[in-house]
Amino acid sequence: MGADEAYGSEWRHFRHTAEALDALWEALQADEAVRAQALRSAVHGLQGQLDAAFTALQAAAQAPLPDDPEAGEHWLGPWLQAAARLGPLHEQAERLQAGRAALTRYRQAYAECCGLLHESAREGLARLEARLLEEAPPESLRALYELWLTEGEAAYEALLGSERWADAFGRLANASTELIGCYQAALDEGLRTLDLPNRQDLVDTQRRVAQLERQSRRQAAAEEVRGLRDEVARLRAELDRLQAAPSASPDEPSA
Amino acid sequence: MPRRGPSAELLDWQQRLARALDGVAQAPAAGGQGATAAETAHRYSERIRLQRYTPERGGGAPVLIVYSLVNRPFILDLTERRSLIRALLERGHPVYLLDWGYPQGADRFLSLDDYIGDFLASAAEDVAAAEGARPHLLGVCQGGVFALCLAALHPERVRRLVTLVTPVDCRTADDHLSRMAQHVDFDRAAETLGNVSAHWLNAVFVALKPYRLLSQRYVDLPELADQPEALDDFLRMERWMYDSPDQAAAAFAQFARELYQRNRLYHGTLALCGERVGLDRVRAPVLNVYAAQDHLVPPAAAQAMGPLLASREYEEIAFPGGHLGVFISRRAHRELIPRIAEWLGR
Repeated sequence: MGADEAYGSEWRHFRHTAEALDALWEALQADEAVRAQALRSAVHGLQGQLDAAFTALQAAAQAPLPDDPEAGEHWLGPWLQAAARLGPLHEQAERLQAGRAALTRYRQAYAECCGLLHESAREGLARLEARLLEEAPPESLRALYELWLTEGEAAYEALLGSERWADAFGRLANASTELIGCYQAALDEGLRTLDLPNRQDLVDTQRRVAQLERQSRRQAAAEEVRGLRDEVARLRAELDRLQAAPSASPDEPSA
Repeated sequence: MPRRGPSAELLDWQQRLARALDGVAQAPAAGGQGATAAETAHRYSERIRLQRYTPERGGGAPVLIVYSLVNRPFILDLTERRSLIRALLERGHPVYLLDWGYPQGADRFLSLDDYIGDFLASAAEDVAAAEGARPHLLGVCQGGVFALCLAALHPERVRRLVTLVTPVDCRTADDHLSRMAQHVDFDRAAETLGNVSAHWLNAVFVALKPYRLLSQRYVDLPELADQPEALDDFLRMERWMYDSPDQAAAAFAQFARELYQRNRLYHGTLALCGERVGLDRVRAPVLNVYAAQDHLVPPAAAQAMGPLLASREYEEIAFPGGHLGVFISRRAHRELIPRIAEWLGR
């Protein structure tokens, strides 16, 4: 999709959402006899916009990967995995397959999170619809917005507090880490072939710098403690010497 | 009867928005510094330093502020009118702030042992040496956890301890942040990604309240159109919210794993610098302030502290409002901060 087309698509989505909102406002002003039906229809329009936005996000995550031999021919998968374990280039082939598997897991986790967010946003609209059907119509756009905010947030917080979201978020975070790790390994391998410093080299250097800094910090602290101990010992010796000396002050008259 | 349309309301909102945006464009860039002048008293590394704020009159014991690693501490000194630091100075306390700075790549191996056992312990000692008196510790959020750990490891270095919005039980039922953290492999993430990007962390925090932080906050902006001072405060908050340091990878993973996943501070099984950090070793008087509507540190997470301490003097204040209201709300400056100052002066 080109930039113009993407912009056009965004604009269309925005325009359709604005139209759906307008329809909702109109429904709120309708006569009581027809208001409920008009409201349901308007909320349905907004749900359509929501569905379109989330469907586009999920479709991007579920589209087949380019040059994916497994996309059309699933039966090939196990054979390709077995083949990757044979021959002089099997390590590279296995890494490649691991990278592809990591990408697939990432896309699945992303799609799962999108799905849950979609559900939550839909639930928010459903709650809004229920409030609008129960209560007197809001008197201003601002009041309508506040209702949507309250109900949308309540639905979202229910999702945040659920084990389903914790699982899905964990899967997405871990899949991102795994995928980045695969890219790093491939990049490190290429740089090593060219005898150029790679990430692993940099991290090793950073580790050594950190160890040296820590060592030097703790050594300085230990030296300070040693210095303080010496000073305490010196002061104690001085005190002992003073206590051992005759107590009479030279200013006091002798008996 | 003519149908009431939204056009007039929308037009009014748009006009005020345009004026507010004009105000934003004309406002001077909000700096990442606090409103009060400070001098550097010590440097513990290239980036970590101890800042000293000097009171106009003396009389109070020194206060060492331990801020969280997650954001910048200038929220404690946001403006002249909203400054916790200034309020303490006005009551005669020399104020020290341990500024963690912005970790860079080579800081990825800094652990909680370094932050607490080395930097914070040294800072408490340096303040005591400079002022001739043990400091009060004032820990904020994660910094409150650090302050508690120091008070457990070195009880002799702490006079009195104030914790603001500090989590102790990190597995309470209403803790969404904790729930989201349960299945993340933080060690692998730290090893693979290095320092945790501030953008990623901000995204997580925003994702806890997206309706308020991404929508309502800006829908309300036109209300500030004709209030230059309030708009200035808004811009400083905006700057603060997204001016976040990256997190040193090792310390972040250790904090998330040990506290948020294993809840070791609460269970008394946390170990730092080769020692157990049991809150039953904290003997200093403690004032535990939490926010009643805090979505980051739910009240129950902070309230869990009291029964675990060995301190004979323990008080709690439940302050109405959210996480940040404790330092920046007008009510906090009117009611809460004087109570904290009075408690420190006992």
